[in-house]
Amino acid sequence: MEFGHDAKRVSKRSLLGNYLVKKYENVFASIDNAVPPGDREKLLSNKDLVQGIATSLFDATWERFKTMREDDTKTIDDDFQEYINNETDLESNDSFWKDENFRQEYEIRSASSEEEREKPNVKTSLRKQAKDTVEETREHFIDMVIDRLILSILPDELPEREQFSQRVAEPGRRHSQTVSVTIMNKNVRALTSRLGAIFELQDILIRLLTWRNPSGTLLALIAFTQICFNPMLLVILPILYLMFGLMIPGYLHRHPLHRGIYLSKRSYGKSLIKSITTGGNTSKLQLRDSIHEFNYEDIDINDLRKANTVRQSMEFVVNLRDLQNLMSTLVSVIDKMEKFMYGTAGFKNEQYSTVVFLSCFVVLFLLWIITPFINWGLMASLLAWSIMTIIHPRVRPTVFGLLKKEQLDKGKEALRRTERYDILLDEPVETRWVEVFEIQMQGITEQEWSPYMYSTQVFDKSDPYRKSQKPPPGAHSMDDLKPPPTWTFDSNSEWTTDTNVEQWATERGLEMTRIEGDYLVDDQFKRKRLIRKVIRYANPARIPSYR
Amino acid sequence: MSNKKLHVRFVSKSKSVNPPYKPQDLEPITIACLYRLYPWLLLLDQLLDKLMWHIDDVSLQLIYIILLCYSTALVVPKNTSLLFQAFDIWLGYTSVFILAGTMFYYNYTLWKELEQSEAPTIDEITHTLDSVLEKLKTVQNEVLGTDKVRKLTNINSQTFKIVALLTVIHLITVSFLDVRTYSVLVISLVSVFHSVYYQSTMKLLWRYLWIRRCYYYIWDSVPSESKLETNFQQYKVICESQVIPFPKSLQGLKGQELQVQLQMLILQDPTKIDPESDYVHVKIIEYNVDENERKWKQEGWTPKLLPYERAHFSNSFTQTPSVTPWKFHEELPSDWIWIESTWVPGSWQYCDAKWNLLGANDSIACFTRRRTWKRRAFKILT
Repeated sequence: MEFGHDAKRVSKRSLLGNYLVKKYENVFASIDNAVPPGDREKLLSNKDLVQGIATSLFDATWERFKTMREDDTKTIDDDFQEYINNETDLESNDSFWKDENFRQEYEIRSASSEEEREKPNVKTSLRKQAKDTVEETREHFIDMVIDRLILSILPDELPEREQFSQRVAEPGRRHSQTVSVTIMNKNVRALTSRLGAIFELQDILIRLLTWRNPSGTLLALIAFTQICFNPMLLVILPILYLMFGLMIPGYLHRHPLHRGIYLSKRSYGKSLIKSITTGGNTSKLQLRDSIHEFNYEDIDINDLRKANTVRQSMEFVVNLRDLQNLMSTLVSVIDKMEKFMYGTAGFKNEQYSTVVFLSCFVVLFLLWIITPFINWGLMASLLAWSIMTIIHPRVRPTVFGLLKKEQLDKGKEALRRTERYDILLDEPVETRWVEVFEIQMQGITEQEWSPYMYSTQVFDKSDPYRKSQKPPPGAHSMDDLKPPPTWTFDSNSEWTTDTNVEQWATERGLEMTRIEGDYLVDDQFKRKRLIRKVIRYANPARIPSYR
Repeated sequence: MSNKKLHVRFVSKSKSVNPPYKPQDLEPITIACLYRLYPWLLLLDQLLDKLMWHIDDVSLQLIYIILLCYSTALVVPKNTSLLFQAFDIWLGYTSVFILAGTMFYYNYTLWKELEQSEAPTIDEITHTLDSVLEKLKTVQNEVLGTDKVRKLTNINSQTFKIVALLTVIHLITVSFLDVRTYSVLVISLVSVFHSVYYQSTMKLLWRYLWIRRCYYYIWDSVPSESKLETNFQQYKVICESQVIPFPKSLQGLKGQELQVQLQMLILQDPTKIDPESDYVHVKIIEYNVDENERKWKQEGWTPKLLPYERAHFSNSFTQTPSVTPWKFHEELPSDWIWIESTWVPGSWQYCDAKWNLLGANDSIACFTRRRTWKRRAFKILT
């Protein structure tokens, strides 16, 4: 393998390269072994590409040595490893992408897996290899990225690749940066330290939604109600926030007003609204640390700097954790959306999807009828208030207690019955015709013919297989004939001979040598055309390109 | 190598078995006509494409439809304040102008490009003609139904039903909606009717049992006359009047198996025959009861059938509901005598969703099946 040599040459040159080769030996070996002879050329043609990877491997190794000295990389390692492991678990356990709707699709899958066993796919074996190496070495995340990179760069015959190449060739993207691990790493670091504000916003939202900040929640509800009745507030409120939420504090920071405030150690009395919304359980009086106003004059500049560094690194770690959580959430959310897109919206379970479609239809129709009679502002605000009241931690258990489990089960049962008996999937199936040629070979005498093969090729004199004196791709018995993928043979239709030899021969532009009965005869072989009906209920449901 | 599997190939769809014409056989005058017709064919093709939403640019199509809806303002302006009405009419005029402009511009560019480019080959022309014909056929099928289930083939009670129904729907909608909304709705409906969106929606709605029930309730509520006629015949007459020779004793009986059987049966109850006569006349009939089943996703084949279709047991000739063969056994009028001792079932016949016979084997194309229970009976004619 050419690029294996390449790598070896590198190894003689430097210590770094030596490390590199050791590390990726497994991967290279698997590429060497797993590539079937046909695909070998394809890989060779991508030589440039592989060389490109090799150079980025260099970058990565440098990066690795640099970052090894830093202490906090350990956390990145662990965190990311954990994350990656989670992700692989998710992928392997996911049986969602199996289609339970149609038997035929199981067959395809099992058939294709058989084929894979016969002719191991480069990509799958590589992925396995890559996983093994991950488990063995538990390496840095840059290495992981490169592993992934190699996997993704390998040629693939999926049709989606075309779209992908379109995306790469898009004029707007061509001018942007090329894929570089260094830049990616830099960006992750930069983002991690700067995302604080976003995470804070996320926290605020969560606190508002879970009533951990009751007054805030109430205010938000009131604001929402006002917006419902007066959408102009959508413009006014941000301006107000800009003025008094951002600019005034900024001004105050620079020009403190120095008003004498005497802060008491304890606060007495309770707010009615707070008591109600927290259920009167405010005994956990948070004894706030007395607020310590910073005095900029008598502070040691070194202390300040130290405190700042500690705060910064703390913030970095916290942000990193939040970023990781955010990514996990994002992945699971995207997963769910994908399941919806390809499952429910993709008619994977036809009955369920039909029910969903019909419900949407009914809702749309009802909305169209009742829209003019409804005050949508009032409706939206009422809905918001009731939802927020229901999800209040003190109200929620009571409300869910009212919903009897049996009733819920009954509802589910009714829905299932609807799906079972009220949705009829009895559309006429798709039908098409398939053909195969039964080829017979001449024996010793002119009348003696022996069965040769069933083939999709006519195997006439101009056939490339015949010219190279090889048997055409085919099967020896009729039982080995399989319908095209995703289709099944119609059990009510048998293989029938096409008796109009002249017609099918002319359609294919064949030399009309001799016709004997249903056979078209030449000096060595004769063949007849057999046709049969194939049926299928539906196309297999769409699945994403990487599944 | 010995057990190699082979995936067979589809018969290519593109070649029709017997093309209605061959381009090289056409008369020169026909070719000349076709050549003249070519621009118009292209225009028609485009128009049909727009009607059937065979388009790359969905947004453009939507713009056209919206403009079309706005142009209704010229005919029925909104009944509001004068200023708003003026604006509405202005919008209508603008829409009409834009639409007309688009059309003229398209025609102009089409002609120009045709002039500039090479003359079309006869293949190109026939290809366009084929495409137009195919699209017209699709449009026709979508309006009237496919050849198998064609609606409105001739004027009959169903035509009147449709007219009556449409009148009622029209009256209801007009009383609820103003003329403007109504016309906009009609325009939108017509413009989306041949799109895949509308057609697929209809197919999906058809999956819902209650919609089918409504449809059959309205459509088939009055049984047609032909049904009433066939209602009369409950059984298959095998023989109107069969002579059974009847010697006084069972010995030396000759004749067909059936005759022997009959003689034995008659002898069991000798009260019914004239002791003087040497033969009797009998009428032989055969009762056929169909057992019908439907395939359900979870349960497989069960007798549960749809409310609007035939019953679990039905008379094979009239398809009217029937009692089970075993109950039928007891309901036979007293002057009739069963020939066979039990009902004899046939093998299952598998059908598609509309009970059209497919074959003797179950497959994913089969959704219903039926088998016929047969039993013969006879009556002594006096």
